[in-house]
Amino acid sequence: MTQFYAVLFSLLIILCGFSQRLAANTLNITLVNQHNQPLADAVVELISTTATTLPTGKPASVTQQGLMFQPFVSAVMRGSAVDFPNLDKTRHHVYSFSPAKTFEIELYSGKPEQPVVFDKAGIVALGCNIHDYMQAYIYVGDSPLLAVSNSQGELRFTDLAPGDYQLRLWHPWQQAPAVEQQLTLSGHQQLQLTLAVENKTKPAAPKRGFGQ
Amino acid sequence: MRFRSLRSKLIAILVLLLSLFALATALATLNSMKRDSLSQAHDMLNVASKVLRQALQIRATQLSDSVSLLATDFAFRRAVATAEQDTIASVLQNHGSRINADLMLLLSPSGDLLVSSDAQLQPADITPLFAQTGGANASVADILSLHGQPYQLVLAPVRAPNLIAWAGMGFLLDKPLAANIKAITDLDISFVIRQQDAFVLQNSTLTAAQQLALTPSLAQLLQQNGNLQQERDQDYLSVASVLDQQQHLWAVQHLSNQRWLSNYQAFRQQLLLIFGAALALALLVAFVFARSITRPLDALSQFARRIGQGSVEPAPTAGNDEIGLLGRTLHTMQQDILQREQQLLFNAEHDALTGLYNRAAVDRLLPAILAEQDGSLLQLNIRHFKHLNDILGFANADKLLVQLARRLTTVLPKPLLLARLGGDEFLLVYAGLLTPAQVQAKVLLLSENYPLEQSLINLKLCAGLYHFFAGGECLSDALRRTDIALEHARHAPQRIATYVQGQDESHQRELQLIRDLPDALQNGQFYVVYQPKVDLKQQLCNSCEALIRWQHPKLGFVPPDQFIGLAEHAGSINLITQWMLQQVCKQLALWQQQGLQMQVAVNLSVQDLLEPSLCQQISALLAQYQLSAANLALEVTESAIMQDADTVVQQLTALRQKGLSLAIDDFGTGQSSLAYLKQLPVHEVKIDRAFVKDIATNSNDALIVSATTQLAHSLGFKVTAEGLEQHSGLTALSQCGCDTVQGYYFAKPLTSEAFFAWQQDFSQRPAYWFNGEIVL
Repeated sequence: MTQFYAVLFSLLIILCGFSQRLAANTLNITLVNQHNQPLADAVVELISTTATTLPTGKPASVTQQGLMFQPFVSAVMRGSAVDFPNLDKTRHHVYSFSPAKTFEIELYSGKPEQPVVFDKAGIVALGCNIHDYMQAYIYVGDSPLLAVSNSQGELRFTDLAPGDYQLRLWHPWQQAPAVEQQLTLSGHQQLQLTLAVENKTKPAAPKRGFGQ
Repeated sequence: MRFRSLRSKLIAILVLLLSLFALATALATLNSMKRDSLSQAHDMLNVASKVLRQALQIRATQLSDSVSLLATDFAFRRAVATAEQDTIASVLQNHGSRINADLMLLLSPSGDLLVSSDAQLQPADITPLFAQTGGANASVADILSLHGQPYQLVLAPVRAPNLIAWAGMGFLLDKPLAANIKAITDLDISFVIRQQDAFVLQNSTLTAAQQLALTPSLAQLLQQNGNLQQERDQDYLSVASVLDQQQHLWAVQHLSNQRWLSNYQAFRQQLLLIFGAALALALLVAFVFARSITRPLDALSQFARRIGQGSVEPAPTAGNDEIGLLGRTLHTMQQDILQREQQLLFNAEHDALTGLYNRAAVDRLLPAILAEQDGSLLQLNIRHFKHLNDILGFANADKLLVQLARRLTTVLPKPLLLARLGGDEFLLVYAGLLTPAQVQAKVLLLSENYPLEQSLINLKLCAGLYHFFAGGECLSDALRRTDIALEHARHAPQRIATYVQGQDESHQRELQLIRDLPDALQNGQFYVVYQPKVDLKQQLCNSCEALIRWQHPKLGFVPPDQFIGLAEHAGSINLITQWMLQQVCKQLALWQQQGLQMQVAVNLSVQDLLEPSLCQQISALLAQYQLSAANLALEVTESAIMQDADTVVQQLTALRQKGLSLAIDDFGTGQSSLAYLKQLPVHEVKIDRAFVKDIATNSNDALIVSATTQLAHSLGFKVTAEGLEQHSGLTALSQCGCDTVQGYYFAKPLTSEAFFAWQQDFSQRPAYWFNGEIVL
């Protein structure tokens, strides 16, 4: 199955590559799951094989609101500082035991004293120690070209320099790691990627609780 | 088996019935109860099995919860996240001990074994359980056999917050658990592990000994997929539940047979007790009841036996039931028997016609009278009663007898004993010695004026009188002597005779003669004598009469008139005649050899003439001795001929045809009819000596002899005169015309030798006898 999707993926890239030469700089990617339904929260990272300078990561934040992390999936460049503002009335205890970044912000409310800097590429699974159902992922990429698909499964890269890129695709529920692909960009390009994922729902706060 | 008494039969039947009933009831009840008990036991085991599963399920849930909770412990997760082997091992140890886990392990999210508290644990051991997770992030629990130990193993995901590992905690199915389950189910439980086809009991609540006893049957039990099994020879019923998927682990629950058996046995005991009591009671009741039946029966049986012995005691009292009825019936029977017995006794001792005592009664009553006192026996007899019978008819004769009997009881002074001895004979016994005159008076009262058919009849009664003296007589002697007296009375002028001493003895002598006669013929006590018959015209002696003589060894000479009559009465005259014929023929043959031609006359009795074979006998004898029939003459008395004239004449005719000479003996004394005389096929008549012996002096006799001779001659008969005693008579007889003469004048009867000699003498000088007087 995995092989099949990989072949399909390659085919699409080749098709899109021809069209992008006509409208450079923009890459629109539509992501679907194995059922051809829009796939949200998928991360696409483009790694330029030609660029020499690397921009520093932009600050990002993962808020906790309504006993949920928001957003569910974030993508930041290595070295970025991510803030974890707590908009809830309750305290949260955000932690990560992921090898990419292990940290812990013990029970706090409001804005933590300082953001957490993710200095190592990888996947960071976020959890709250006092709300086990709360989950979020931060994709720490090597490249600044990172995008997360919206609920329509769409994501967009603008102002891309034409050239060759490595395309990495990731989704927290992916059944298998996606194969890294080569992509040559020229002009605008429209791309559709398919990734097989497990059928899950995003973690949500339980309906019942203590009235929050 | 046979019962002799009704009682044992009753008891046996009752006991048998009761036993059968009780046995059937007990069998049915016990069977049903046993089945129920067993079914209950099975139900109990089934429930227990379900409870066990439930308990294990609950434990699994609880353990899962515990392990899940543990897996979410932050510190635990943090420790796991370090990925440091030692840290992880120690946190597993630490946290596992919190929930008393016996085995701790950690798997990677993909199921690889990372850390285990049991060094021997192989990844493959966990694989089956991990497979149950099915990719889901929920905890799973199952029971596994790990290295010979039964574990309840829980795998819980460790999330941080995504799945980073699986934490596994194992909990031994240990003794406390077993005890716990036993506390719930109230049944013993054992965990069984299969180890290379062997089954090992573990953590059992049973005692070691019980486990040991159970082990051999485990394989069979488990091969039946844990079905219930009753181990007959063991104390337990068991049910096995498989615990793991590999079917290596079983929980076997045991229900002690004793628990349900004890109820069953208690009930059986109770039944036995009830049965025993009922049996005993039934025996008692049967015994008493049977006794109440058999006791009166015994009494009645005794009573019946006493009835048989002639008892007159009343029947044993009895109630109104069947036995009472039997008693009353027996009583009635007793009365009937007594009545009939009296009737029989009366009939036995009384004459049916007259109601007087009979002979049997005399036999019974007379001895006492004879023994006690002096007295007279008087026997009465009606003369010619047979004649009366013929004339009057039996019915009237009987009436006559009845009247006589009534007169005997009413007219005469009451005798000590009055009986009818039979026929026309009556016996009266009086105290004191009656004289013939007294007897005469009595007989007179009895003889006359019996009214019968409008006429008066007089009876001629004979009376024999016998005097007896106290204690001196025996019954038979007394009766016989009375009878002898009566016999004499028949011929007595007054028809009354008193027994005279000695009469009995002559009677006895007659009896002896009759008794001795047949032997005497064989023993040579008899001999034959011959009396010559002399022909008057030719003055020859060529015939004689043979006469029999008896010389008895004890009684001496017995005259023929004593024994010939007796022999005729006794029916033995034929023997004498045959003997005579034999002797005479023998003698005739001898005389012929000696040159003596003689015709010998033998006397025949009427009984001889009535014997059909007489002719043949005589022929045979004549043939035997080669004699001519003319040598033998036969003499028959006139009275003999008259008794059965037709037969006798027929017989005589036959004899005459044979050539024998026939003569009528004692002619003139019988009441013969001349009409018969002319028919008689005889050659000769012999005039009785009564007319001959005094013929010389008595002119009447001479006249009779003369007339008789003329008559006989005119009928063609020769005439012989018997009893010539004197020479004077010889002339008279010659003048009368007699042909032959016989008598003492010529010779008395002589033995054969003497006769031969006399005949020789007579032949040589007959003139001597006819001319001279012979003095006898």
